[in-house]
Amino acid sequence: MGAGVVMMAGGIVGMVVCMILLCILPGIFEKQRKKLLSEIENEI
Amino acid sequence: MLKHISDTYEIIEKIGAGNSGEVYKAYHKNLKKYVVLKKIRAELKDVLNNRAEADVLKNLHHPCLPQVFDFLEADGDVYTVMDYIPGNSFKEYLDAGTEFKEKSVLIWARQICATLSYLHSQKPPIIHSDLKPGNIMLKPDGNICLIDFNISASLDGDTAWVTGYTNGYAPPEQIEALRYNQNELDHSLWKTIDRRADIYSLGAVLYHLMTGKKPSQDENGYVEDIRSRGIRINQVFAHIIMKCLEPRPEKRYQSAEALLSDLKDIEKKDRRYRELCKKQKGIYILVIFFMAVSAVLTVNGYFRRDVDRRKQYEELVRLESQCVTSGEFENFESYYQKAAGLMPERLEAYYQKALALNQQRQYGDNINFINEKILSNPELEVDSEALNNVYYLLGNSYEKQEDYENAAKCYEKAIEIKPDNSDYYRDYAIALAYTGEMDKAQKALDTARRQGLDSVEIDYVQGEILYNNQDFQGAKEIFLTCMEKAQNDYVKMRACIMTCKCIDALEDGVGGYDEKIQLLEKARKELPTEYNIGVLETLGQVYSDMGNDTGDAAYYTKAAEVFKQIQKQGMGSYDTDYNLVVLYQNMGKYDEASALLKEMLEEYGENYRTYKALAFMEVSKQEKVDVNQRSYGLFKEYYEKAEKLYQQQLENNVNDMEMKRLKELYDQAASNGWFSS
Repeated sequence: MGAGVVMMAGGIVGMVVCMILLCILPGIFEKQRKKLLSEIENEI
Repeated sequence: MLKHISDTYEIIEKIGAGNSGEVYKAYHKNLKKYVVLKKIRAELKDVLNNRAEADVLKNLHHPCLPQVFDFLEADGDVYTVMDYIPGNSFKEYLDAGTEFKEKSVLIWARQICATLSYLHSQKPPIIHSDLKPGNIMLKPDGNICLIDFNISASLDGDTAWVTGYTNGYAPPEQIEALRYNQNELDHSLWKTIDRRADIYSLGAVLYHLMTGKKPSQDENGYVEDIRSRGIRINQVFAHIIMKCLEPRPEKRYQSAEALLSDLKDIEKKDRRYRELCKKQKGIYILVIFFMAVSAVLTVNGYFRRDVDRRKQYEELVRLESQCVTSGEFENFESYYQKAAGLMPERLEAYYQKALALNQQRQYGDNINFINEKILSNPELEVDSEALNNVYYLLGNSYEKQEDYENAAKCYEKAIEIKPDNSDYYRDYAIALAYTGEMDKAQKALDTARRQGLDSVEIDYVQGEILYNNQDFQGAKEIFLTCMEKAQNDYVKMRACIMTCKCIDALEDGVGGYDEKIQLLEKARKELPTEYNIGVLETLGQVYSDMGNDTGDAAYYTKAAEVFKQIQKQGMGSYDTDYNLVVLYQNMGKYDEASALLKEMLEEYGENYRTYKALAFMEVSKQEKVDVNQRSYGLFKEYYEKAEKLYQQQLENNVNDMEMKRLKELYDQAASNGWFSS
């Protein structure tokens, strides 16, 4: 298998992983922020 | 103290006397509700009378402001009539030592700030200028209400006159302005304050509510940091309060909206929250960066893959070409298959295969291959102008098959594409000569001459024309001269073969062996391996014929040596092997013949000629044993296979006299009942 195929396969896998992360990260981050806001709010 | 103001209001009690004047609780007889009457300071009376300020105050509608109903005059004083707000002021709570929760203070801070924002957004803006715990009521429902804002008379622009202040809550600029104004009789020269004074006052109120102590300014106007007061307070909230209490207005919040925004987002201003957001942003940037890198990698890989594929293809074609040059075709098919599979749209791999077939003298296969895989291949993306060599090769194969008509057509196409190649004209002229089109052949030859074709080659073609005109003696002389003079090995090889043909024609196919052998052996020594195959084949055939004529087995041995040389050079074909089989048979070497025939079956697949040879050999074998010991079982098997394959070949107009002879032998054996024994 040529280096080009390896690069292309790696690139596609990388893009797919990044796209999945971009889809799921907002939800996870939102939860993290809400949890922290709630903690801070409870502290006040 | 007032008892009645007109018939409408009944004064209940005096409930305050602040900077703005006296404040009364009264009963509105018509509305049947409690109201507050608030005396307007003398300094503002004229303003209120002369301007539309009254209407401005009446038009204020906010849940945290008392509704102003009216303005009325009594005993030369002007009173504001507004809602009576139940509850207690924060001052009363603070005086009672009440401690407030940070969360509650924050909620009230937002409410006060929203109210200030409302007042400041009026046109013209209303500056409260006396915000303090005493002026903020905490209603029974837990919400606040700002009172005593009549001194916050608005002026043109964004500023207000200073008519008083409350120590601890007023900003330094308000105190300074009042001190100045007290000594200035001309109102027009009075110093003014703006909305940022209210921001300071709100900070001071919040400071007081959180610490329980009124903020005190040092000589520079700074208030002790709330964080050093030993109370538990959110760092962001503390920072907001201290920012409000900056002595220099430009360092405070510049508007109530900005302050309200920070108060609302107090949790989001927390260091941990900001760090979390920063971290999340960092992760997003990292992911997007990796995505961009991946995209670049993909695109790069895509183009690199093409480059790799092309390089791999070119390497395979180079290996194919190497095989063709060296005459070692062991791995050729594998290279060809890989190359054609890799880039089926390119010509080079197919061309090398055609060259290889041509070199292996598989001319019939080559013709089929070129027609199917190159000229009729829809996958092939090649400009027809690049096909000159292919047509030339195809013409060459047709010529070898003695199909001169098609050969001439192919050479013609090659010339159409590339009219400046003298070799094309040479072979075209030869093919035309063989088809009997002598005029056209001569024309082609003339063109070749003009193209600068070597004179020996011209002579050679002239010899071919003479040969086709059956002037064998004349042709022979020309070919002999060509053999002597030719620098081109190809021409020398062809001249040698053609000389032998001329000798055959002159001798009626019988004799002339010594002359032919002399010429061929000379050419065998002189010609390089890539051009000596035709010579070797002819030589092998001459030795074989001599053996047949003289019955001397030494010639068979010599013929076998020649055919073995062809095999050794990697140029062996089915015919070479078949010739060897015949020679072995003639020499009585049946085991070697049999072994070679079996190898041929494996290498070239089933062929009626192979079974035919096996059957003849079996008959020869049986003839050498005692009549009673003979067994024709194998002969029967080989004959039947040969016959079956031969029947299939009949469709191609094959007419093999030896098959008729074999059938006679078979019928004879069957009638004698030799198969049963």
